[in-house]
Amino acid sequence: MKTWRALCAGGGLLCLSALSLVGCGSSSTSVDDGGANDTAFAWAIRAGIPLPLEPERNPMTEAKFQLGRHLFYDERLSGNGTQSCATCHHQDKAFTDGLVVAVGSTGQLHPRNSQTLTNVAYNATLTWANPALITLEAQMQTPLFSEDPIEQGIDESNQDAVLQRILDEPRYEPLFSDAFPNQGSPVTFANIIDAIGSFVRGMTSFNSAFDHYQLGDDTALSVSAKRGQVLFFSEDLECFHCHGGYNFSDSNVDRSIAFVERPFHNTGLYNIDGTGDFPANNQGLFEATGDPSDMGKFRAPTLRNIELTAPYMHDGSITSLEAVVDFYAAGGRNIESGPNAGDGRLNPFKDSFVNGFAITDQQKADLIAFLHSLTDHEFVTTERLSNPWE
Amino acid sequence: MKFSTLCSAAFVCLSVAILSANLSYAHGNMGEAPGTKANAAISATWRDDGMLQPAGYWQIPGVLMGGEAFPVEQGFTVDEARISVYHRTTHDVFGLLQVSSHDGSSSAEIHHAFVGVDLRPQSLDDIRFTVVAGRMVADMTPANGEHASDRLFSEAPLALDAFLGRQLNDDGARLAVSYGGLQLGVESWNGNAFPATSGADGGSYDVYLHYRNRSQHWNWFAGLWWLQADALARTDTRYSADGHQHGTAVVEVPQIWFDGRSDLGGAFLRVGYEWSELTQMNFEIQYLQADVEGDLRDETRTTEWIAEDNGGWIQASVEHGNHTVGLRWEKLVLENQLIGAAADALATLSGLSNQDHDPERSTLTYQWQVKPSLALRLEAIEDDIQVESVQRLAVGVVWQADLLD
Repeated sequence: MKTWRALCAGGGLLCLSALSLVGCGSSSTSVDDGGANDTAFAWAIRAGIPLPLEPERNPMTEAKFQLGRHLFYDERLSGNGTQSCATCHHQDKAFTDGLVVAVGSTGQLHPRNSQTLTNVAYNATLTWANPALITLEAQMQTPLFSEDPIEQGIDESNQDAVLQRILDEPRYEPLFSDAFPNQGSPVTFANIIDAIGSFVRGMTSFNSAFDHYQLGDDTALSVSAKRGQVLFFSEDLECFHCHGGYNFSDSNVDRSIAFVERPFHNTGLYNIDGTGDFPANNQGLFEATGDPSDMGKFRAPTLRNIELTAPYMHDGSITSLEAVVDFYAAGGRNIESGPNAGDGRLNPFKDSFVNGFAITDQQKADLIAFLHSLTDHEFVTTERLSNPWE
Repeated sequence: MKFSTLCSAAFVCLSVAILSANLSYAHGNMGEAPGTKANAAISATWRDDGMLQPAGYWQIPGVLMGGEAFPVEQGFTVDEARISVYHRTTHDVFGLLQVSSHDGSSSAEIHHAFVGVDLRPQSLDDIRFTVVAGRMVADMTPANGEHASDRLFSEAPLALDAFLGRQLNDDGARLAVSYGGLQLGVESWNGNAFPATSGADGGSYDVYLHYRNRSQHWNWFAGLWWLQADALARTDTRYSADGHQHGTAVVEVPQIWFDGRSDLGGAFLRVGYEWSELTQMNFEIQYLQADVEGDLRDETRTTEWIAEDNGGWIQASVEHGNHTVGLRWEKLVLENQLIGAAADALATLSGLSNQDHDPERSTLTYQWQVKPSLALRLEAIEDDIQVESVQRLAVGVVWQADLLD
């Protein structure tokens, strides 16, 4: 009897307990982004990467993207009809031009190296060192209309002629109509800027070997590249501090970001006469703020497709990735003679992460192998981003 | 030489040296007789496999973890080693100092250091007030104060790992009022222990009600408790806390911070039935509920996080002479809701995205009490904590001794 009661009591307790635990529902994770990721555009972005921002005033559409693609490659969109956006942004070079500094439509040299347009939609600021320039549409004003240096060279004297050239091209009529429906005369510079902005914003690149590795393909990276990855993200080399995150830049913004940081860095490239100065025509953030401590500070560009974007640095003064690694290993650059003489390693405004490091030839090769793994070959060959006029 | 090897050697030497001492099981409750007592305990286990821990970082999917909730690892591990000294005066003033090392940690730490007093006002017959202050474990559920050498199972309960970082051990104070088998307690904590943080906007406190009773064949221990923990900029410090070095791998911990409040409630029941002089049946159920509300953020993103989690375990064992067979089944149900533009990204980064998986674990154990001080333990574990399940076998020893009584 005692046994029976004990068994019943124990069994009853077990049953009740099991029911209480089993019956408490099942696990779930629900995500409500409040519509932040709503989009009408088919972004070419892999899993795990947040969408870039779309301006409320200029949401992405396929029609604007396609119109922008035609305008981007059209030399008629310049004062003298000789230069397009693509003149300085070649697809096969990840939308850079391979030159030390850009050359405008009148032959005038730009003080800075043409930047890659890889994932430019994610840049927290645009151009090399302008904290106020945060939309592609605002940035577009500069290459189209700037007078010093002249880039595409459109001004009051030729703007009507430029628009007329666009109007005269029959392929544009349906493109403008689709992109800007219900507008009587859609061929305006405002619409041109919005369309090119949409095309450039759509230049996303997340299909490199590194991305495949991130998605679980262990064979996507070579053994050397894997060693290089460890070096890249190590505290010894410090690379990732300024070139971290999914876009390999600390100047990054997307739809999920609440606190946007817009950092700029002095890497010790110059230190003219030991005063911290950079060449007078190229002084970085200082040109915008006037703050002496901002001398020589520039935005850290993405390292995606870096293999294709030589020469390097804001003034194109370093020719190869090997030389870039040597530069950072030395903790800056010492220029022993000439007008820019000075030891950049001792620049008082140099970023604290540029301290120099010891690196062997094998490690350097590994690091560069990793940087090469960031090359997205589809990005530089896809017809979707190519010249539609050819 | 690996640390585990050193521990093995130390464990064997220590065991041989003091196995002949005056031995009996004992832990936190040192009794009410005046005097000084000291005891020690070691639990060590060899496992043929560890818990799944991708990239070295162990997380129950769907939970933000912390405290000292470490995974068990393949091979030999000293689950716990501790030594305690307790003193009680004739005026019912008492204190406990305990130094211990847990979960394969490479260093020992002061686990308990508290003083207290029992007050029995003459005007309130049968009522006892107990005031305790210092570093100690929360008393809300007895499971919170137990380690591998106290439990029938070598692995810590899953629900405690998930919701309390294995054990709420903190600097704080306790006021308990006891009347017969009833005890009502209130505890206030500095917030050094998960799931709280210390400092302004941090800290935790709990309230519990316990009931104990014993009849001819039955003994009961039941309780209800509630805990509130506030956190500001809480992050997972398990792999960066001083002294905790688990293996040689560099563990990449997600850089995530939590600001908010956790409300935990629990209920437990422990029942023992004495079948005969040789045979005892024991049953235990513990149920925990955790409601979390706050903001989750990384360096640039933030999202609102609401969690309604449940978990617990059911355990039954039969003890016959020196042999005990036990079974424990554990389950967690984790319901997370993230709201905001960064919800998706932070759900993934934080590991709160749980693929609708209910973490579960079942353990079958056999324990042979070789002598009063020494037990051998065999365990078979079906581990469904991660989406991918693993099975492992464990062989361990538990040694406990009164060094001074």
